[in-house]
Amino acid sequence: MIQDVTVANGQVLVDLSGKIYVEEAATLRQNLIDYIEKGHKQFVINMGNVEYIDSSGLGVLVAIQKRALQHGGGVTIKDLSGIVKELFELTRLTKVFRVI
Amino acid sequence: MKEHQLELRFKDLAGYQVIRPSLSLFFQRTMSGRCTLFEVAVHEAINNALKYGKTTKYPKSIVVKMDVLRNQWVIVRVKDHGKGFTPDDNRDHAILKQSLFAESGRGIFIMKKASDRLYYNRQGNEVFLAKRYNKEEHPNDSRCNSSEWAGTC
Repeated sequence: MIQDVTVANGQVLVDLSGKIYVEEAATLRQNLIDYIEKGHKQFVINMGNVEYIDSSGLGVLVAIQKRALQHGGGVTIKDLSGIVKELFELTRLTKVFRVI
Repeated sequence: MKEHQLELRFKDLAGYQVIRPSLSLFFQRTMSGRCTLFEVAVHEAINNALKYGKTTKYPKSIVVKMDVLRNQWVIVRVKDHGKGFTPDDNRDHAILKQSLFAESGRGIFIMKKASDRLYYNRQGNEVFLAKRYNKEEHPNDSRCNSSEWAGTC
């Protein structure tokens, strides 16, 4: 779920936590697309407290990255660990995002 | 010797939300105390059943059956009542090469990579996933009392 969203220094800082199932993914998509439509293009998404994500959530992150890149920005993924890190590596999404 | 450990039935996303804790508990008891790639693969199979297994007039239950076989294999079947589909092996290559930016299509890829066995029935509306695990690595494994798994809805 979305724990917190703040805007600082032109970056949208998103803290995610817990389990991101298909319905949370839909909420996340709408929330982040709203920021894109308001003109934001740099996102930092903290995944450090995420316990579960599946392809629906991963697809949302890719969708935001595509839109951010189209506007000259991008998505940085922060603090990958555990199963979430395994999934990013398995699906090669580590090549799609800047990962720190 | 095989016996059903858990059988869950639900018709829609709301029902899926109700049975999720039972799924999590099953995996905690069998494979490990934390979420594994195989657990994600099972949720991917259920997501596909919810998305593609819809019947028109009268929604029928999606059925998830989970077994432990010889304390070595976790076996999961997910059946829906949709028209089914034909798995596309070329999709794996797409995910790994030109379609890194695809917004969908990773679910079946994850299912294949996280399972030791993955089969579909001929119609393509039932998927069989199996994962071998090391009992000694997961000492919490125990045959469960079926009354703990009251997830039918």
